[in-house]
Amino acid sequence: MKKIFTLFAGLVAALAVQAQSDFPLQFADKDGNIIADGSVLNLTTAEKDDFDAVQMPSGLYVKNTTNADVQGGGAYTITSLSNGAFQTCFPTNCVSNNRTGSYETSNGTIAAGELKSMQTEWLPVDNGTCVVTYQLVTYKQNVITKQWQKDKTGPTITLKFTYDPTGINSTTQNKNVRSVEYYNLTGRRVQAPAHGMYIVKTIYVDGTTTCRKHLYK
Amino acid sequence: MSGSKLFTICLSLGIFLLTACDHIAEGDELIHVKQEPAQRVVLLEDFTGQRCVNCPLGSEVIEQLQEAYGDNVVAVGIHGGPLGFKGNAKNVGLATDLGDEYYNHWNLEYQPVGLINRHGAVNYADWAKVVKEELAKTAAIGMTASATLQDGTINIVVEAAGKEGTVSGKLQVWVLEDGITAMQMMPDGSTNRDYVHNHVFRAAVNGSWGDIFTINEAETMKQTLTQAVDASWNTANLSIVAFVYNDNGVEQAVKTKVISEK
Repeated sequence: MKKIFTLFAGLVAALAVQAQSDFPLQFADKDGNIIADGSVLNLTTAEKDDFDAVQMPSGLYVKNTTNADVQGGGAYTITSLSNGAFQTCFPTNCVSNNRTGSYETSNGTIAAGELKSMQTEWLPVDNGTCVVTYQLVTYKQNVITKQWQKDKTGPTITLKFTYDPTGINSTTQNKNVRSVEYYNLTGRRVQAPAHGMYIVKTIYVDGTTTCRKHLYK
Repeated sequence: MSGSKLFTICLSLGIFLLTACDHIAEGDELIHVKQEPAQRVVLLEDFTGQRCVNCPLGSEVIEQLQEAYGDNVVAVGIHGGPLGFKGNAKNVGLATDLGDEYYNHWNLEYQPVGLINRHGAVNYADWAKVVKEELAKTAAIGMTASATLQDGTINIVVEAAGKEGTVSGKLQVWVLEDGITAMQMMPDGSTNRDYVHNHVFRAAVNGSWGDIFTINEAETMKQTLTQAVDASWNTANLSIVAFVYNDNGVEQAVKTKVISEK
Protein backbone atom coordinates (compact mmCIF):
# COMPACT_ATOMS: atom_id res chain seq x y z
CA MET A 1 0.00 0.00 0.00
CA LYS A 2 2.82 2.32 0.94
CA LYS A 3 4.50 1.58 -2.39
CA ILE A 4 1.28 2.34 -4.29
CA PHE A 5 0.97 5.64 -2.46
CA THR A 6 4.60 6.51 -3.22
CA LEU A 7 4.15 5.60 -6.87
CA PHE A 8 0.95 7.64 -7.08
CA ALA A 9 2.57 10.64 -5.39
CA GLY A 10 5.52 10.35 -7.76
CA LEU A 11 3.20 10.23 -10.77
CA VAL A 12 1.33 13.32 -9.62
CA ALA A 13 4.60 15.14 -9.04
CA ALA A 14 5.94 14.10 -12.43
CA LEU A 15 2.75 15.32 -14.12
CA ALA A 16 3.05 18.63 -12.29
CA VAL A 17 6.65 19.08 -13.48
CA GLN A 18 5.59 18.13 -16.99
CA ALA A 19 2.71 20.61 -16.81
CA GLN A 20 5.03 23.48 -15.87
CA SER A 21 7.50 22.68 -18.63
CA ASP A 22 4.56 22.57 -21.08
CA PHE A 23 3.33 25.96 -19.92
CA PRO A 24 3.41 28.37 -22.90
CA LEU A 25 5.34 31.05 -20.99
CA GLN A 26 8.70 30.37 -19.39
CA PHE A 27 11.23 32.45 -17.52
CA ALA A 28 14.38 32.87 -19.55
CA ASP A 29 17.67 34.73 -19.69
CA LYS A 30 18.48 37.35 -22.31
CA ASP A 31 19.55 34.67 -24.79
CA GLY A 32 16.31 32.79 -24.45
CA ASN A 33 17.67 29.95 -22.29
CA ILE A 34 14.86 28.65 -20.13
CA ILE A 35 15.27 29.09 -16.38
CA ALA A 36 13.68 26.12 -14.64
CA ASP A 37 10.57 26.33 -12.55
CA GLY A 38 11.44 26.84 -8.89
CA SER A 39 14.82 28.44 -9.53
CA VAL A 40 16.25 30.91 -7.05
CA LEU A 41 18.35 33.75 -8.45
CA ASN A 42 20.75 35.43 -6.05
CA LEU A 43 21.27 38.95 -7.34
CA THR A 44 24.03 41.06 -5.86
CA THR A 45 25.05 43.57 -8.49
CA ALA A 46 23.79 47.11 -8.35
CA GLU A 47 24.21 49.91 -10.86
CA LYS A 48 23.35 53.57 -11.06
CA ASP A 49 20.82 54.37 -13.76
CA ASP A 50 20.73 57.54 -15.84
CA PHE A 51 18.48 59.19 -13.26
CA ASP A 52 21.18 58.68 -10.59
CA ALA A 53 19.06 56.08 -8.83
CA VAL A 54 20.52 52.74 -7.73
CA GLN A 55 18.91 49.71 -9.30
CA MET A 56 19.48 45.98 -9.13
CA PRO A 57 18.23 44.43 -12.39
CA SER A 58 16.96 40.88 -12.40
CA GLY A 59 17.93 40.31 -16.03
CA LEU A 60 14.78 38.22 -16.38
CA TYR A 61 12.94 37.63 -19.61
CA VAL A 62 9.77 35.73 -20.48
CA LYS A 63 9.69 33.49 -23.51
CA ASN A 64 6.57 32.43 -25.34
CA THR A 65 7.57 28.90 -26.35
CA THR A 66 4.57 28.35 -28.61
CA ASN A 67 3.64 29.31 -32.16
CA ALA A 68 0.64 31.30 -31.02
CA ASP A 69 0.17 34.61 -29.21
CA VAL A 70 -0.43 34.17 -25.49
CA GLN A 71 -2.26 36.51 -23.17
CA GLY A 72 -0.10 36.52 -20.08
CA GLY A 73 0.87 38.31 -16.94
CA GLY A 74 2.40 37.71 -13.56
CA ALA A 75 1.58 37.35 -9.90
CA TYR A 76 4.25 38.05 -7.33
CA THR A 77 4.74 38.13 -3.62
CA ILE A 78 7.28 40.39 -1.97
CA THR A 79 8.21 38.53 1.18
CA SER A 80 11.05 40.79 2.26
CA LEU A 81 11.83 44.40 1.43
CA SER A 82 14.39 46.21 3.57
CA ASN A 83 13.91 49.55 1.83
CA GLY A 84 13.26 51.16 -1.55
CA ALA A 85 10.84 49.70 -4.07
CA PHE A 86 10.46 46.59 -6.18
CA GLN A 87 9.56 47.46 -9.75
CA THR A 88 8.29 45.32 -12.60
CA CYS A 89 7.32 46.47 -16.07
CA PHE A 90 5.71 43.31 -17.40
CA PRO A 91 3.93 42.80 -19.74
CA THR A 92 2.36 46.19 -20.51
CA ASN A 93 2.62 48.49 -17.49
CA CYS A 94 5.09 49.38 -14.79
CA VAL A 95 4.27 48.74 -11.17
CA SER A 96 6.34 49.93 -8.24
CA ASN A 97 5.74 48.49 -4.77
CA ASN A 98 7.36 49.76 -1.60
CA ARG A 99 5.89 47.26 0.85
CA THR A 100 5.63 43.51 1.20
CA GLY A 101 2.52 41.74 -0.03
CA SER A 102 1.01 39.91 -2.97
CA TYR A 103 0.42 41.69 -6.26
CA GLU A 104 -0.69 40.99 -9.80
CA THR A 105 0.42 42.60 -13.03
CA SER A 106 -1.99 43.58 -15.75
CA ASN A 107 -2.27 41.19 -18.67
CA GLY A 108 -0.95 41.66 -22.18
CA THR A 109 -0.09 39.84 -25.36
CA ILE A 110 3.20 37.99 -25.64
CA ALA A 111 3.63 37.23 -29.32
CA ALA A 112 4.38 33.76 -30.64
CA GLY A 113 8.03 32.95 -29.98
CA GLU A 114 8.66 36.37 -28.39
CA LEU A 115 11.42 36.84 -25.83
CA LYS A 116 10.21 39.74 -23.70
CA SER A 117 12.28 41.56 -21.11
CA MET A 118 10.49 41.78 -17.78
CA GLN A 119 12.25 45.03 -16.84
CA THR A 120 12.11 43.86 -13.26
CA GLU A 121 14.38 45.24 -10.58
CA TRP A 122 14.84 46.35 -7.02
CA LEU A 123 15.52 50.03 -6.41
CA PRO A 124 17.27 50.05 -3.03
CA VAL A 125 18.08 53.20 -1.09
CA ASP A 126 20.20 51.51 1.58
CA ASN A 127 21.84 48.18 2.21
CA GLY A 128 19.51 45.26 2.75
CA THR A 129 17.57 42.59 0.93
CA CYS A 130 14.50 42.16 -1.23
CA VAL A 131 12.97 38.74 -1.84
CA VAL A 132 10.25 38.25 -4.42
CA THR A 133 8.55 35.11 -5.68
CA TYR A 134 7.21 35.63 -9.20
CA GLN A 135 4.83 33.34 -11.04
CA LEU A 136 3.72 33.47 -14.67
CA VAL A 137 0.03 33.40 -15.44
CA THR A 138 -2.03 33.00 -18.60
CA TYR A 139 -5.36 34.69 -19.22
CA LYS A 140 -8.43 33.78 -21.22
CA GLN A 141 -11.21 36.00 -22.47
CA ASN A 142 -14.74 35.57 -21.19
CA VAL A 143 -16.86 35.09 -24.31
CA ILE A 144 -19.79 37.05 -22.86
CA THR A 145 -18.21 39.92 -20.96
CA LYS A 146 -15.08 40.05 -23.15
CA GLN A 147 -13.11 40.60 -19.95
CA TRP A 148 -9.77 38.85 -19.50
CA GLN A 149 -9.61 36.53 -16.54
CA LYS A 150 -6.85 34.39 -15.07
CA ASP A 151 -6.63 30.98 -16.67
CA LYS A 152 -3.61 28.94 -15.57
CA THR A 153 -0.61 29.48 -13.37
CA GLY A 154 2.84 28.52 -14.59
CA PRO A 155 6.44 28.42 -13.44
CA THR A 156 7.69 30.25 -10.39
CA ILE A 157 11.01 31.91 -9.76
CA THR A 158 12.44 33.51 -6.63
CA LEU A 159 14.53 36.66 -6.84
CA LYS A 160 16.82 37.31 -3.89
CA PHE A 161 18.40 40.74 -4.10
CA THR A 162 21.14 41.71 -1.66
CA TYR A 163 22.41 45.28 -1.78
CA ASP A 164 25.73 46.41 -0.44
CA PRO A 165 26.32 50.10 -1.28
CA THR A 166 30.08 49.59 -1.26
CA GLY A 167 29.85 47.22 -4.21
CA ILE A 168 28.00 49.45 -6.63
CA ASN A 169 28.99 49.22 -10.25
CA SER A 170 28.98 51.88 -12.90
CA THR A 171 26.10 52.17 -15.32
CA THR A 172 27.95 50.31 -18.01
CA GLN A 173 28.30 47.13 -15.99
CA ASN A 174 25.27 44.95 -15.91
CA LYS A 175 25.06 41.71 -13.97
CA ASN A 176 22.32 40.25 -16.08
CA VAL A 177 21.97 36.50 -16.12
CA ARG A 178 23.29 34.91 -19.32
CA SER A 179 22.20 31.37 -18.58
CA VAL A 180 21.45 28.91 -15.82
CA GLU A 181 22.74 25.31 -15.82
CA TYR A 182 21.58 22.43 -13.66
CA TYR A 183 23.65 19.46 -12.48
CA ASN A 184 22.52 16.49 -10.45
CA LEU A 185 24.56 15.31 -7.49
CA THR A 186 26.56 12.92 -9.69
CA GLY A 187 27.79 15.94 -11.63
CA ARG A 188 25.82 15.21 -14.78
CA ARG A 189 24.21 18.20 -16.44
CA VAL A 190 20.42 18.00 -16.88
CA GLN A 191 18.14 20.09 -19.06
CA ALA A 192 15.75 20.98 -16.24
CA PRO A 193 15.59 19.78 -12.67
CA ALA A 194 12.82 17.49 -11.51
CA HIS A 195 12.61 16.63 -7.82
CA GLY A 196 15.56 16.44 -5.52
CA MET A 197 18.84 18.23 -4.89
CA TYR A 198 20.63 19.92 -7.78
CA ILE A 199 23.59 22.21 -8.27
CA VAL A 200 22.45 25.40 -9.96
CA LYS A 201 25.15 27.26 -11.87
CA THR A 202 24.24 30.82 -12.85
CA ILE A 203 26.40 32.39 -15.54
CA TYR A 204 26.24 36.17 -15.80
CA VAL A 205 26.72 38.39 -18.81
CA ASP A 206 29.97 39.71 -17.35
CA GLY A 207 31.36 36.15 -17.29
CA THR A 208 31.13 35.60 -13.56
CA THR A 209 29.35 32.54 -12.19
CA THR A 210 27.70 31.49 -8.95
CA CYS A 211 26.96 27.92 -7.82
CA ARG A 212 24.59 26.79 -5.14
CA LYS A 213 22.65 23.75 -4.08
CA HIS A 214 18.90 23.85 -4.45
CA LEU A 215 16.27 21.34 -3.38
CA TYR A 216 13.42 21.10 -5.88
CA LYS A 217 10.23 19.83 -4.27
CA MET B 1 -83.75 70.41 -13.46
CA SER B 2 -82.23 67.09 -12.76
CA GLY B 3 -78.91 66.82 -10.86
CA SER B 4 -77.04 65.39 -13.86
CA LYS B 5 -78.15 68.23 -16.20
CA LEU B 6 -77.09 70.83 -13.63
CA PHE B 7 -73.68 69.11 -13.31
CA THR B 8 -73.21 69.09 -17.11
CA ILE B 9 -74.03 72.80 -17.38
CA CYS B 10 -71.64 73.68 -14.53
CA LEU B 11 -68.84 71.59 -16.07
CA SER B 12 -69.30 73.22 -19.50
CA LEU B 13 -69.31 76.69 -17.95
CA GLY B 14 -66.15 75.87 -15.99
CA ILE B 15 -64.33 74.64 -19.08
CA PHE B 16 -65.41 77.75 -21.03
CA LEU B 17 -64.17 80.07 -18.29
CA LEU B 18 -60.86 78.25 -18.01
CA THR B 19 -60.17 78.27 -21.73
CA ALA B 20 -61.65 81.64 -22.63
CA CYS B 21 -58.39 83.52 -22.10
CA ASP B 22 -56.12 80.93 -23.77
CA HIS B 23 -55.63 82.86 -26.97
CA ILE B 24 -52.18 84.42 -27.14
CA ALA B 25 -51.25 86.48 -30.12
CA GLU B 26 -48.85 84.88 -32.54
CA GLY B 27 -45.32 85.88 -31.70
CA ASP B 28 -46.16 86.35 -28.01
CA GLU B 29 -46.15 82.63 -27.25
CA LEU B 30 -43.41 81.36 -24.94
CA ILE B 31 -42.06 78.36 -26.76
CA HIS B 32 -39.45 76.24 -24.99
CA VAL B 33 -36.73 75.58 -27.51
CA LYS B 34 -34.43 72.77 -26.50
CA GLN B 35 -30.74 73.66 -26.65
CA GLU B 36 -28.68 71.76 -29.16
CA PRO B 37 -26.43 69.36 -27.25
CA ALA B 38 -22.76 70.29 -27.31
CA GLN B 39 -20.06 68.22 -28.97
CA ARG B 40 -18.39 66.08 -26.32
CA VAL B 41 -14.68 66.70 -25.89
CA VAL B 42 -12.91 63.86 -24.09
CA LEU B 43 -10.29 64.52 -21.41
CA LEU B 44 -7.57 61.87 -21.20
CA GLU B 45 -5.30 62.23 -18.16
CA ASP B 46 -2.20 60.14 -18.85
CA PHE B 47 -0.36 59.33 -15.61
CA THR B 48 3.15 58.88 -16.82
CA GLY B 49 6.76 59.00 -15.69
CA GLN B 50 10.22 59.46 -17.15
CA ARG B 51 11.40 56.29 -15.36
CA CYS B 52 8.51 54.23 -16.73
CA VAL B 53 9.75 52.12 -19.64
CA ASN B 54 6.28 51.41 -21.00
CA CYS B 55 5.01 54.99 -20.81
CA PRO B 56 6.15 55.94 -24.34
CA LEU B 57 3.71 53.27 -25.54
CA GLY B 58 0.89 55.25 -23.93
CA SER B 59 2.10 58.42 -25.65
CA GLU B 60 1.95 56.60 -28.99
CA VAL B 61 -1.71 55.75 -28.39
CA ILE B 62 -2.41 59.41 -27.61
CA GLU B 63 -0.77 60.49 -30.87
CA GLN B 64 -3.01 58.06 -32.76
CA LEU B 65 -6.12 59.32 -30.95
CA GLN B 66 -5.31 62.95 -31.66
CA GLU B 67 -4.68 62.11 -35.27
CA ALA B 68 -8.06 60.40 -35.48
CA TYR B 69 -10.16 62.80 -33.43
CA GLY B 70 -8.24 66.10 -33.46
CA ASP B 71 -9.34 68.65 -30.87
CA ASN B 72 -12.11 66.37 -29.62
CA VAL B 73 -9.55 64.55 -27.50
CA VAL B 74 -7.64 66.63 -24.97
CA ALA B 75 -4.66 64.73 -23.53
CA VAL B 76 -2.71 65.77 -20.46
CA GLY B 77 0.53 64.03 -19.47
CA ILE B 78 0.64 64.10 -15.69
CA HIS B 79 4.13 63.15 -14.56
CA GLY B 80 4.27 61.76 -11.04
CA GLY B 81 3.75 58.63 -9.02
CA PRO B 82 6.54 56.18 -8.21
CA LEU B 83 8.05 56.35 -11.71
CA GLY B 84 7.99 60.11 -12.02
CA PHE B 85 11.22 62.09 -11.97
CA LYS B 86 11.48 65.53 -10.41
CA GLY B 87 14.91 66.33 -11.79
CA ASN B 88 18.42 66.74 -10.44
CA ALA B 89 21.47 68.87 -11.14
CA LYS B 90 22.03 67.15 -14.49
CA ASN B 91 18.61 66.26 -15.85
CA VAL B 92 15.25 67.94 -16.32
CA GLY B 93 12.43 66.37 -14.35
CA LEU B 94 8.79 66.75 -15.28
CA ALA B 95 7.08 65.29 -12.22
CA THR B 96 5.40 67.66 -9.81
CA ASP B 97 4.09 67.39 -6.26
CA LEU B 98 0.62 67.98 -7.67
CA GLY B 99 1.13 65.13 -10.12
CA ASP B 100 1.88 62.90 -7.12
CA GLU B 101 -1.21 64.22 -5.35
CA TYR B 102 -3.43 63.38 -8.31
CA TYR B 103 -1.83 59.92 -8.71
CA ASN B 104 -2.44 59.11 -5.06
CA HIS B 105 -5.91 60.65 -4.99
CA TRP B 106 -7.15 58.34 -7.73
CA ASN B 107 -5.52 55.29 -6.07
CA LEU B 108 -3.62 54.42 -9.21
CA GLU B 109 -1.41 51.36 -9.06
CA TYR B 110 0.56 51.21 -12.29
CA GLN B 111 1.86 53.33 -15.14
CA PRO B 112 1.04 54.26 -17.77
CA VAL B 113 -2.57 54.52 -16.77
CA GLY B 114 -5.27 56.89 -17.95
CA LEU B 115 -8.36 58.51 -16.60
CA ILE B 116 -10.77 59.08 -19.46
CA ASN B 117 -13.34 61.68 -18.43
CA ARG B 118 -12.55 60.52 -14.88
CA HIS B 119 -14.50 57.27 -15.08
CA GLY B 120 -11.80 55.18 -13.40
CA ALA B 121 -8.37 53.83 -14.32
CA VAL B 122 -7.97 52.56 -17.90
CA ASN B 123 -4.96 50.65 -19.20
CA TYR B 124 -3.46 52.28 -22.30
CA ALA B 125 -4.32 49.24 -24.40
CA ASP B 126 -8.00 50.14 -23.88
CA TRP B 127 -7.79 53.91 -24.34
CA ALA B 128 -8.96 53.90 -27.97
CA LYS B 129 -12.07 51.88 -27.16
CA VAL B 130 -13.07 54.00 -24.15
CA VAL B 131 -12.39 57.31 -25.92
CA LYS B 132 -14.62 56.22 -28.78
CA GLU B 133 -17.42 55.40 -26.33
CA GLU B 134 -17.08 58.77 -24.60
CA LEU B 135 -17.09 60.67 -27.89
CA ALA B 136 -20.46 59.14 -28.75
CA LYS B 137 -22.07 60.84 -25.76
CA THR B 138 -23.49 64.36 -25.86
CA ALA B 139 -22.44 67.09 -23.46
CA ALA B 140 -24.76 69.10 -21.23
CA ILE B 141 -22.56 72.18 -21.54
CA GLY B 142 -20.50 73.83 -24.22
CA MET B 143 -17.16 75.47 -23.44
CA THR B 144 -14.75 77.83 -25.12
CA ALA B 145 -11.49 79.31 -23.86
CA SER B 146 -8.88 81.82 -24.89
CA ALA B 147 -5.50 82.67 -23.41
CA THR B 148 -3.09 85.50 -24.08
CA LEU B 149 0.38 86.11 -22.70
CA GLN B 150 1.34 89.61 -21.65
CA ASP B 151 4.26 90.69 -19.46
CA GLY B 152 4.85 87.24 -18.05
CA THR B 153 1.22 86.63 -17.18
CA ILE B 154 -1.26 84.40 -18.97
CA ASN B 155 -4.74 85.97 -19.10
CA ILE B 156 -7.33 83.25 -19.44
CA VAL B 157 -11.02 83.56 -20.34
CA VAL B 158 -13.27 80.52 -20.02
CA GLU B 159 -16.87 80.67 -21.22
CA ALA B 160 -19.55 78.03 -20.75
CA ALA B 161 -23.10 77.64 -22.03
CA GLY B 162 -25.73 75.42 -20.41
CA LYS B 163 -27.30 73.06 -22.93
CA GLU B 164 -29.33 70.66 -20.86
CA GLY B 165 -30.54 70.76 -17.25
CA THR B 166 -28.36 72.10 -14.48
CA VAL B 167 -24.71 71.10 -14.27
CA SER B 168 -22.93 71.48 -10.96
CA GLY B 169 -19.35 70.59 -10.18
CA LYS B 170 -15.98 72.25 -10.41
CA LEU B 171 -14.20 74.17 -13.11
CA GLN B 172 -10.53 73.23 -13.32
CA VAL B 173 -7.97 75.11 -15.39
CA TRP B 174 -4.47 73.76 -16.10
CA VAL B 175 -1.36 74.89 -17.96
CA LEU B 176 0.26 72.42 -20.38
CA GLU B 177 3.48 72.56 -22.33
CA ASP B 178 4.43 70.77 -25.55
CA GLY B 179 7.82 70.02 -27.03
CA ILE B 180 9.89 69.52 -23.88
CA THR B 181 13.09 67.59 -24.57
CA ALA B 182 13.94 65.53 -21.51
CA MET B 183 15.20 62.08 -20.60
CA GLN B 184 12.84 59.12 -20.87
CA MET B 185 13.23 55.41 -20.23
CA MET B 186 12.17 53.46 -23.30
CA PRO B 187 10.37 50.09 -23.69
CA ASP B 188 13.63 48.32 -24.58
CA GLY B 189 15.16 49.46 -21.30
CA SER B 190 17.37 52.11 -22.87
CA THR B 191 17.38 55.80 -21.96
CA ASN B 192 16.45 58.38 -24.58
CA ARG B 193 18.02 61.70 -23.58
CA ASP B 194 16.34 63.55 -26.45
CA TYR B 195 12.80 62.34 -25.97
CA VAL B 196 10.20 64.99 -26.79
CA HIS B 197 7.42 65.17 -24.22
CA ASN B 198 4.12 66.73 -25.29
CA HIS B 199 1.03 67.98 -23.43
CA VAL B 200 2.93 67.95 -20.14
CA PHE B 201 0.97 69.13 -17.10
CA ARG B 202 2.75 72.19 -15.70
CA ALA B 203 0.45 73.85 -13.17
CA ALA B 204 -3.09 74.19 -11.88
CA VAL B 205 -4.32 77.77 -12.39
CA ASN B 206 -7.18 77.71 -9.91
CA GLY B 207 -6.05 75.36 -7.14
CA SER B 208 -5.50 71.62 -7.15
CA TRP B 209 -9.16 70.80 -7.57
CA GLY B 210 -10.64 73.92 -9.22
CA ASP B 211 -13.48 76.33 -8.40
CA ILE B 212 -17.11 75.55 -7.67
CA PHE B 213 -19.20 75.76 -10.83
CA THR B 214 -22.94 75.69 -11.55
CA ILE B 215 -24.78 76.49 -14.77
CA ASN B 216 -28.42 76.13 -15.77
CA GLU B 217 -29.80 75.30 -19.16
CA ALA B 218 -29.71 78.27 -21.56
CA GLU B 219 -27.44 80.22 -19.21
CA THR B 220 -23.96 81.40 -20.06
CA MET B 221 -21.04 82.16 -17.77
CA LYS B 222 -17.65 83.76 -18.19
CA GLN B 223 -14.66 83.44 -15.88
CA THR B 224 -11.33 85.19 -16.15
CA LEU B 225 -8.17 83.88 -14.50
CA THR B 226 -4.48 84.69 -14.55
CA GLN B 227 -1.35 82.58 -14.26
CA ALA B 228 2.23 83.78 -13.82
CA VAL B 229 4.68 82.11 -16.21
CA ASP B 230 7.38 79.99 -14.61
CA ALA B 231 10.92 80.66 -15.78
CA SER B 232 11.34 77.03 -16.88
CA TRP B 233 8.42 77.11 -19.30
CA ASN B 234 8.78 77.75 -23.02
CA THR B 235 6.02 80.31 -23.60
CA ALA B 236 5.85 79.47 -27.31
CA ASN B 237 4.56 75.99 -26.47
CA LEU B 238 2.01 76.64 -23.74
CA SER B 239 -1.67 75.69 -23.79
CA ILE B 240 -4.56 76.00 -21.40
CA VAL B 241 -6.98 73.19 -20.65
CA ALA B 242 -10.27 73.94 -18.89
CA PHE B 243 -12.80 71.33 -17.87
CA VAL B 244 -15.86 70.89 -15.70
CA TYR B 245 -16.10 67.75 -13.59
CA ASN B 246 -18.28 66.32 -10.86
CA ASP B 247 -19.08 62.92 -9.38
CA ASN B 248 -20.32 61.77 -12.80
CA GLY B 249 -16.93 62.44 -14.36
CA VAL B 250 -15.84 65.18 -16.74
CA GLU B 251 -18.82 67.00 -18.26
CA GLN B 252 -16.90 68.96 -20.86
CA ALA B 253 -13.38 70.08 -21.69
CA VAL B 254 -11.65 72.57 -23.95
CA LYS B 255 -8.06 73.34 -24.89
CA THR B 256 -6.61 76.53 -26.31
CA LYS B 257 -3.13 77.67 -27.20
CA VAL B 258 -1.56 80.56 -25.29
CA ILE B 259 -1.05 83.43 -27.71
CA SER B 260 1.64 86.03 -27.09
CA GLU B 261 0.43 89.62 -27.32
CA LYS B 262 2.96 91.95 -28.87
